[in-house]
Amino acid sequence: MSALRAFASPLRAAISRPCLSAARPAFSAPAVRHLGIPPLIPQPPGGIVGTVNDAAKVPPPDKFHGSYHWTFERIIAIGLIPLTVAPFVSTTAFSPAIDSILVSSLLVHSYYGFQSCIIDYIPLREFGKVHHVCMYLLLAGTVVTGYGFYKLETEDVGLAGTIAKVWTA
Amino acid sequence: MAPASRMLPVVARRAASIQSMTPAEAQELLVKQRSNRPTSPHLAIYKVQITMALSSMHRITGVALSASLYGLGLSYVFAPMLGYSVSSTAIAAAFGGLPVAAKFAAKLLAATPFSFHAFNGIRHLIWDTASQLTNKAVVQTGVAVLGASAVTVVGLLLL
Amino acid sequence: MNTYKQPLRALFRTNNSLASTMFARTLATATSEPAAPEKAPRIKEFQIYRWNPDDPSSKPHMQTYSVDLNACGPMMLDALLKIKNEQDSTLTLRRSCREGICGSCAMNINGTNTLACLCRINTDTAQTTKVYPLPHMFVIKDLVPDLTQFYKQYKSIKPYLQRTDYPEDGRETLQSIADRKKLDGLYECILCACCSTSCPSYWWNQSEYLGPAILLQTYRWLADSRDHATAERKLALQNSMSLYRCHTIMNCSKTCPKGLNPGLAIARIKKSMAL
Repeated sequence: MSALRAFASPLRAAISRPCLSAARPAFSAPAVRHLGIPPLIPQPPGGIVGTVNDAAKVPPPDKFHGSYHWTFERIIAIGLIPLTVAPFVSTTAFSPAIDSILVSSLLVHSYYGFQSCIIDYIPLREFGKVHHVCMYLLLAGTVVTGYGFYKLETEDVGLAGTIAKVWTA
Repeated sequence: MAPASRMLPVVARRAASIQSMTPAEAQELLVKQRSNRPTSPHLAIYKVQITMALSSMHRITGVALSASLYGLGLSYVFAPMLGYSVSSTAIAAAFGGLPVAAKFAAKLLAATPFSFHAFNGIRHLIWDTASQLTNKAVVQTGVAVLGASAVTVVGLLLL
Repeated sequence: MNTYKQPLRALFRTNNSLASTMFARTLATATSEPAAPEKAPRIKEFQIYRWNPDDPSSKPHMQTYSVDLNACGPMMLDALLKIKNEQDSTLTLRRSCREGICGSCAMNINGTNTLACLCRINTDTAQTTKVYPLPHMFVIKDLVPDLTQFYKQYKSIKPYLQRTDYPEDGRETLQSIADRKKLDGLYECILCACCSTSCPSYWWNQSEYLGPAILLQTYRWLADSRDHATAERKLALQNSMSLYRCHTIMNCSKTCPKGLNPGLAIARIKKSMAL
């Protein structure tokens, strides 16, 4: 009985033969690696440098790109919590001094955020000079923006004041 | 009764062509093969989960908020050069002149990323102390962030 | 023929204990026999990623296979091997232990990375199950990704005990029970690469970012009380790429088929390196 059943199973498998169908050719080609942006600098085939027995290269240590950077990012972010809450709870007009600290912290925080995006999506190894240009543009943009906020603080009502004015307009 | 396949001798044997190669030639062949390899699908096929979804939202909202901040600062520098005068009063007046629906939409569009990024930022800071990093806690804190953001957005719109 | 099966049948009826489930699976795998002859076939469709290196100009595509779940083991690996055995011997995948300890059959099933041998087949025959290789990897063939870079990165963290001196008596290096406990949840990693290839940061920057699996291993050696190379190990992470491309996305811990927590291990490294 059970031998018969065992014999029947290949038959059953034959009934459920594959229905071959090709679908969706939209896969990334070898050259397109990075969020769909093809790298400007040709990358090693398969992303492999050296033989299979070589360890991946460890970059030279630099704490200012490592733990110091990370820690400073967190300090700024923690500082932003009270600075963000303050304008909502303060009953008097927001002082330009505290508003300036808020704006500076936001700018540094934004700068770090954009920097992280550039490192993630326009990495040096794939985009070379373009990566550096982006970094310089970001730095320049941040400095000029800082100057704009200097004017906003000295000639006008500051960031919190402006947002409050617009919000209640 | 034995299955028919057992009675057939295996005769089909493919003649393997063996080529001797120096290590350098083998390496060259390997590199050539590597250059043909496609990248397996990723973002398009990976299941959207709360982990990845909130993380990408955090970055997108962060970039949007920072871009607005830079826009405001840069307009104070460049608008006077282009002959426009920018002041908080002028911006407020322009905004006040918009229809109520447009004002509401603009406020919603500003309050939502702000609230989300702020609360999710706190979530990240808690994570940086190496706590709340279990699978369960990640989902719970994620839902909490979404809830707190929704409440804050309503509060901001009522201001 | 039937007599030896009687106790087994009794076992199936009595309870759902782990032992009986395992017994059931062994039986199903061994005889590949339909559970009950009168049952209607449960035809399940599987869409599987295919790419053939012998035809390099061809594009990868999805191929559909149908399997009767009544005649198939419960796990995804059973289904894949059934397809390979009975329908299409060209379907290529890595597998070895079939019990979640070797990490060979890591792949993307229904959108998440897991081990095919630990992943139950979704028995809803109305839904098609999609199978892809591990995401954003170079594909050698079908479901086989190239893990060379992953292993090279593993080698780069020096995954072995480094000491300046050894006990005088020539015996083993001891550690306390409490210190040994710190390695639980770390040493179990089988390097299947499920977590690393679920990480968007690793997708974009795997040439330089180490990824969750390798960082979990880094932490395994940082946390080991017997290791003397803590300072060197940390110094090797002092750059913007190796460690700090982690943005705590947490796809890694979510997907780990062994239930480990690479995200937490990375957070602990960052915390211990702060300032």
